[in-house]
Amino acid sequence: MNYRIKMILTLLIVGAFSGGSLSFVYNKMLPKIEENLKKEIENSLLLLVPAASYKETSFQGKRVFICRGKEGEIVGYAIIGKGGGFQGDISLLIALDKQGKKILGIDILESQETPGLGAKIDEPSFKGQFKDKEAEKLEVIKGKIEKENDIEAITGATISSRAVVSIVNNYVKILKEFVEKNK
Amino acid sequence: MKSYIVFIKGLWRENPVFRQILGMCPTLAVTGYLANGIAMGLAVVFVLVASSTVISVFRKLIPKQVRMPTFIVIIATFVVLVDYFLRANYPFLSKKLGPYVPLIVVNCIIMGRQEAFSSKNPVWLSFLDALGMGIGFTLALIILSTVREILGFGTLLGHPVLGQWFTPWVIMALPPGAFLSLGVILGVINTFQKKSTR
Amino acid sequence: MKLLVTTSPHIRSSLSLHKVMYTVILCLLPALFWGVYYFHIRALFLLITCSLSTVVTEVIFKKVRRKPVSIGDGSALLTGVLLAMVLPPYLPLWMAALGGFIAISLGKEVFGGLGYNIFNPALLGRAFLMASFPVQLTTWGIPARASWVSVDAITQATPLATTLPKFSGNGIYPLQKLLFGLHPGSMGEVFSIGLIVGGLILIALRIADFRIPLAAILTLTILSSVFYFTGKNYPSPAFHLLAGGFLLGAFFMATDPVTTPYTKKGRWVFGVGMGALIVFIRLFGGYPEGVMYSILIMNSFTPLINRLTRPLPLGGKK
Repeated sequence: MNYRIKMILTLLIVGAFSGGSLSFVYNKMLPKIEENLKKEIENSLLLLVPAASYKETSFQGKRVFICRGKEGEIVGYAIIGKGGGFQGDISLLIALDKQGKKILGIDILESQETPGLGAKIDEPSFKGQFKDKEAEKLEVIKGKIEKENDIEAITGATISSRAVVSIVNNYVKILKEFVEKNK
Repeated sequence: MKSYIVFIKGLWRENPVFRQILGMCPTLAVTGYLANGIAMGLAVVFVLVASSTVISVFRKLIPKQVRMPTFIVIIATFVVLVDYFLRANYPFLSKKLGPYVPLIVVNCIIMGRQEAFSSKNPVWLSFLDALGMGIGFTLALIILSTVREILGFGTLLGHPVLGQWFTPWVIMALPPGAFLSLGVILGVINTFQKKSTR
Repeated sequence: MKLLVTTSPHIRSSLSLHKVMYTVILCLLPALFWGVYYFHIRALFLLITCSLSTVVTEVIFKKVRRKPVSIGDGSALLTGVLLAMVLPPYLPLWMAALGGFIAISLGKEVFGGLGYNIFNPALLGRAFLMASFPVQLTTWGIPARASWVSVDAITQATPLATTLPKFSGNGIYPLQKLLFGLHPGSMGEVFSIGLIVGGLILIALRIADFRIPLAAILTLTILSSVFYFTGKNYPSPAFHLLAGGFLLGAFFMATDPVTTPYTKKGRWVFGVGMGALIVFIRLFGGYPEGVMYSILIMNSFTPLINRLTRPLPLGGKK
């Protein structure tokens, strides 16, 4: 009987210590962790739509940002898009201008594409192509681009390139609806 | 003299990765970049040293029957500490290491050292043993990730080292590259080991 | 009465190992000559690089492991020649050399040398290059100038990449171009007639067993006919047979005695599996060509196939 009590006591004490110290550390670290998460999106937002403040709302279950300048005027909109890539999901930020006509740019938030190939979707040579495109349906082209709404695929990573463009197409449509409703 | 041996054996003679083939999950998963390898190694050093020391201090108080759950709770506590620490202070690294930081809990090197050493030995020796094993693990990750980053990306710690002519071997940056380079390194080590003992 | 005893690797004729290897290389010559003629001097460089790299690697490994150097048996040379034949003719030469090194070192010597390897070394070398340099390994071309010593190329897609419906092709390609080797592709894979002639000689000499090529050809034909006649834009069975690396793979790689089953039944199984995988990878996979992966996958099944198809000794029990 005695050893049982000892066993239970040991586990209780260890558990209590562990739980106590962890909750203490958690509470200390939490603000910083949350700030990091927020910063990550805000850094991308600042790159795409330089603005004074970003207000996050939800539209059709998607995370949408309204970007305002110093005097509170709207300068643009952004949305977090998600979809399947070559490996795992790609999540990216897409920004539109205040009329919802032009793409201000995109930024990759998270992806697990092949290093050295598909991972090039995060390089300016690829994602920079989206800047200033009309907010219409975009198309992926292998080799030289010809039309206004063409995006040149990354050599050897056509699937990743297509995935990004299809996510952009899907979410631009949603964001345009949001802009219309917000006018 | 004895404490010196306890420390030094983990570095090479009983190296957890190259000689005991333990801790394969992080060894294979996070060694694409040297920075990731170093970070993972240091995280394991911290968890291993801290939990070995604590367990060695309380080794006489912990009943045999519940030693496993007790060890796991102690190890898990330190792992979560590391995870929070990384997420708060080095969010970039934490994102790159992904789920492999929480997975240190199930790293057999750590549980193995508790069972094999720190639950039976005094605090000072347990500390040295854990430190040696941890540094040995880090060393192995550094070797592996150096090879993989140079061949897979042509860079070292993010700086280009091989110049323009080099075409990175994509396979080295992918999981098969981890298996290939670990296998080749193990083969080379075994060959030389055999020669020196003969 | 004609008695034919097989099962277990018996030697079926007076042919010795080096004679077998050199006969296979001789049978490859028509396709090789055409490749060098059609892709000009770069194809020759590629061939020399691959052969040198495999032979030198083998010598180094044998020396390091203090084993007798068995270069004379020609197996390393054959691996080098086959590797050159499945690579794009304009591949940077250092990549080809790396492929040769990997083919012999990781493909053969680490398993213990000739006879112990699981995978076809030449294809393993190519698979390594494919995973390492996907862009260069899928860049094809034809010579830019008529001069025989020209080393420039015009980039052009292979027939498979332009014809398959998954790449929005319409499934139609002039078959005579495939037959006479007048299209971009791997150096040794383009000249279909040469490969067919070489392959038939190999079978007639009993160096290659007819079962695997026959099973693969039948499966490929039947399965691709099913798609051709029922679906839209799928290429014809003839296209499947002549395009890409099928002929080279079926006659010269799937008949390698080390990495394919040694039982008769097992050889049928191997051929059927290979043919089916090729059709599925070509029509529905991410890559345009599936011969390499099909053979490698079937290689990994070879020990299992051997086990399951081993004939019982008389009076033996299952």
